[in-house]
Amino acid sequence: MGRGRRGLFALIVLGILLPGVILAVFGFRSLRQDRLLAERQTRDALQSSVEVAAREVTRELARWQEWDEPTSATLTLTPGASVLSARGLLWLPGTVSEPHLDANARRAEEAELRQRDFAKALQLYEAALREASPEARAALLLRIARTAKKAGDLERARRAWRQIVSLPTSPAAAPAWLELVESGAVPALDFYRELIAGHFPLVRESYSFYSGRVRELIGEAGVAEYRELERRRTALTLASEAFLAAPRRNPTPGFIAFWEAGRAILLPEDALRARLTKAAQSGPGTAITLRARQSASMDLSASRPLDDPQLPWQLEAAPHDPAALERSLRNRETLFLGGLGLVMAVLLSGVCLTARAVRRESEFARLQSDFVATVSHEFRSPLTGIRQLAELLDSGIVKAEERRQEYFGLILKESDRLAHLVENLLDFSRLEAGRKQYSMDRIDSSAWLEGTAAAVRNSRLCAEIPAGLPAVRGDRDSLASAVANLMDNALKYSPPESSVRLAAHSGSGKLSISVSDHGPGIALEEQSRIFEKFYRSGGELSRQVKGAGIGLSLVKRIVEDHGGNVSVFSQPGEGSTFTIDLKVIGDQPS
Amino acid sequence: MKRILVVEDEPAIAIGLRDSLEAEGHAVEVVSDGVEAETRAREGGFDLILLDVMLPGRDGFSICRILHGGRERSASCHNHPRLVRIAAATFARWPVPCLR
Repeated sequence: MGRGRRGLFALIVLGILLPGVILAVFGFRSLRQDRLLAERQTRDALQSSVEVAAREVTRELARWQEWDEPTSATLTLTPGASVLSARGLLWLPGTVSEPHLDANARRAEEAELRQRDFAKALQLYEAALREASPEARAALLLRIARTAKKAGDLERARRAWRQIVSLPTSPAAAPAWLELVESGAVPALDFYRELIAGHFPLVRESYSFYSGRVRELIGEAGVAEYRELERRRTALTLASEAFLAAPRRNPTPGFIAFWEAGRAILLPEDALRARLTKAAQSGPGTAITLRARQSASMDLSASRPLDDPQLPWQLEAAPHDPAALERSLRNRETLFLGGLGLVMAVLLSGVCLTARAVRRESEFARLQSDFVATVSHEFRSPLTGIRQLAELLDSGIVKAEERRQEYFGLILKESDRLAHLVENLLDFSRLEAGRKQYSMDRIDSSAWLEGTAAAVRNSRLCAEIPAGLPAVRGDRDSLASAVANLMDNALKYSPPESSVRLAAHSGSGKLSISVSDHGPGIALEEQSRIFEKFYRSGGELSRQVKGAGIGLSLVKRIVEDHGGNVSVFSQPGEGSTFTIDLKVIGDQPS
Repeated sequence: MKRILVVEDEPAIAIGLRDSLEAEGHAVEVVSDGVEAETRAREGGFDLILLDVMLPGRDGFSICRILHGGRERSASCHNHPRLVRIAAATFARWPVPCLR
């Protein structure tokens, strides 16, 4: 039996756990595939963003003529690649042409420089100024100022310089600014700012002179914040010179040039890179960067060289938050593992429950087969006794009347026992089959209990039934059989000379009927089992007491069918008390 | 006349056996539980012991084993009586160790 049960149990465990393990294996495999798929999807998405970015960059490069970069040089070129105009340069590459001066101006210069007749020279300069072209005006004003200064008319000189400064920019502007600065009329820093903004058409040497002079006037501390800008513009200007000498995409390292249709723009590589990076950004979640070509890519990214082969960069797309994918995968894995754990836990508890059910079932089967054996013994013993005594009486060998009376008494007792057993078994089978019909009546408790006690016909029973107990509602015979079973048990389980007490009292809506004995008592661990059907205490062959193991389960069943409750209080060695609690119906007759 | 020990806890059966056997002219002694049965059997002097199986205190099989058992064999038990098992129930899976 034990081996069979273990085998069955192992089969159940195998049958449940094997699918569990297979589930786990498949789960882990699909988890790995899920991870690979997610990574591939991310890579594909990055690849498509990098393609979009490349298109955006190409479009941006095509618009270079509209760029408005703060530190860039814009040149307008003649077909012979000399500068027509420039913006953003500190000095002009090549030479700066002096405007043409007319006859009046030449005569005035002669009067000023040779004859040192400043009044005549001023008169002639003024005359020339009136007919001068816009380009020549600044040059003439500069000469007027110079002559006036020599003549000691500083006021007039300053007026002329101011006029130059207010005119469109010309080669004369820088000397006029310097004169104004030196005469204290204008702050030196203003001139320096104009100078490094590239506002004067100067040759390189002139620029160096003016810039050196103004820095001297201000002091190095005063220009410190502009020096970086000046350095950058200087590099840009040098790059422009190199570009004009040999027009190439990369004039000097660190600069890039674009030119087309007589127009050129030069700008630092990092400015271009910043501009293109900005143009390349395609959407949230993906960061597009421009990195040097052939640089090693990151783990999860897609890269592509720019379409323009002269630009030294490749586009690279990477997730803004590379850990996000890992995090979401981790989350999914955690969810899966949690689910798997739950399923496994459910499976395991299923195994445990099944094992318990199987154990219960086989235990019950054992009790049931014991029951059959016990019942057949219980039937045969009194029958054998009755038959034997009857045979003896019949054979006539028993002569003494006293002896014959003893035999009759024994036969009566044994047939009572049989009748009681048959009654119990019938009750039990009716209850088990659910065919038991109770006929509910109003029961007058005191009289009913007196009658039940009297029916036991045993001098050891001591009934203490108070008069006037509240009535209960129930099946008179069934309840009587429940109480009788308790009394029967008490008599069976206690020493032959000890008394058994039947008592009853009422309180808080209940009628309590208790049966106490002085028997061996019931161990605590057995108390919960004695009401189970077929359960019997003690070893199978050496029980002190006869019985089929259904009495108490019958009592419990009947009492509970009446909405009552049966309980036991017992201490080993000190007897037991069984109590039936029933609801009372008060005084209302029903 | 033989001395017979009847070990039986059912009073009706025990009295029936006693009276039948006495009517046959034997000296019969009746005990009703296993422990007492073992004590009386050890004291000896019985030609036959009629032993019930389901007994209070100690079951018939173990009394049987003790009285037959090698280690338990003592001088008083040297001339040991014949043992007969009587049982009202049929227990198919019970062994029958006494009847050999």
